[in-house]
Amino acid sequence: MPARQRLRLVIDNQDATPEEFESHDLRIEKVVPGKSKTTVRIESLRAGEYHFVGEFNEDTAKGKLVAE
Amino acid sequence: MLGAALIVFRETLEAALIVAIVMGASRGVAGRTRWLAGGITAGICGAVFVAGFAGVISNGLDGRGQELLNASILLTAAAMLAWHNAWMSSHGRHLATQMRRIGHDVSVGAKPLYALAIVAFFAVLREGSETVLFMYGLAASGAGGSGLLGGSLLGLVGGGVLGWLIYRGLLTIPAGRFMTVVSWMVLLLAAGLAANAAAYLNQAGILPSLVSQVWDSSELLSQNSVVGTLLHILIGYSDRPMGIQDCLLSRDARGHSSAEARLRQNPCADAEGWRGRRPRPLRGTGATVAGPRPPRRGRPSSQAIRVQPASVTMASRGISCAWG
Repeated sequence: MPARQRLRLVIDNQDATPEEFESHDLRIEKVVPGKSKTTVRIESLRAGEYHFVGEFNEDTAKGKLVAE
Repeated sequence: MLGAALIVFRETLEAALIVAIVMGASRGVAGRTRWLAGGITAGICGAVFVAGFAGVISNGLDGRGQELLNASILLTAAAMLAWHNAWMSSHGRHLATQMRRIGHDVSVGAKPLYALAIVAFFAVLREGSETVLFMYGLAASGAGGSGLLGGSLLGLVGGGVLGWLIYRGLLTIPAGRFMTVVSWMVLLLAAGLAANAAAYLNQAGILPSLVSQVWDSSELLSQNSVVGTLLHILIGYSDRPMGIQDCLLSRDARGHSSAEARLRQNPCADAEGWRGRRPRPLRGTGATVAGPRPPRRGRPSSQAIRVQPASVTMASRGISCAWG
């Protein structure tokens, strides 16, 4: 992702169970119902790595967003 | 199973902590059990309802529905707590005296109970809807089935018990100091809720962050740790706060303490009086145009709620800025 730019993340929950997209690094908490998409807005990021998890499946649903 | 227990425990604890403080704040007020139980029950029903419409809410209002719902819930709860604290500071003296009498059968009017029931309702509604969704997900996916559901129930009971223990802990504070302590906790809780609301409004792209990260204390005290989580709920602690969060935190605390300071000058003013019919003291003279005299300076009033101006402390947490 480009750093220092407004971003819109589209989160696509493809299975039937709800999930919460959560990132303390990005300060985002958003429930995404099963089989649906949602949008989150991010103002602008300094270059760096931002970790996120799916809170309802925290052990396996992990990822990171890299801003450069 | 442990993972499920932990998630539900965390959600339950958030609601239970708020309910515990609200119960503490309404100690000795007749009829409060009915009101709070009503608020909690309505909250559980509402949580199921919100969870059922999660898709509609989430995608409503150009994808900002969930953030706006969360922010409105938090801000309403903060406003209700502010109203309650202001009301209590005018009735606190009376209430504290009454509380010492046997039976605790005080009837000081149900006014703040509406407000407190709404706070309990919203706390349960917000945390509950996430729990319901989570448990629904477990049930629907059928993964691990009974073990995960068992874990969720364990978390639910655990969170409830811890909230109850905190309430019992509050009750051990002597009656004289009790009002002061609870009033402080309500003040900090409301400020914290407002700061959390700011974060949601920023996520919705409505409020600017002002400063994207005022400080980073995640190494010192992570927001994910147990203490960090407790402080996050109780006073809105954030290990990497945005400028806007600090603004609302200090702004709200300051608003509270000044509303209370005004009420302390007119201890007999009730909630209606506070909204406009309150007799206004003449500037500089200390005299009042109509209504009761303000209490004399230096008079001991250990039973009244004494709230020190909180703005200095709160502002020192971060940047201080003018708002509104």
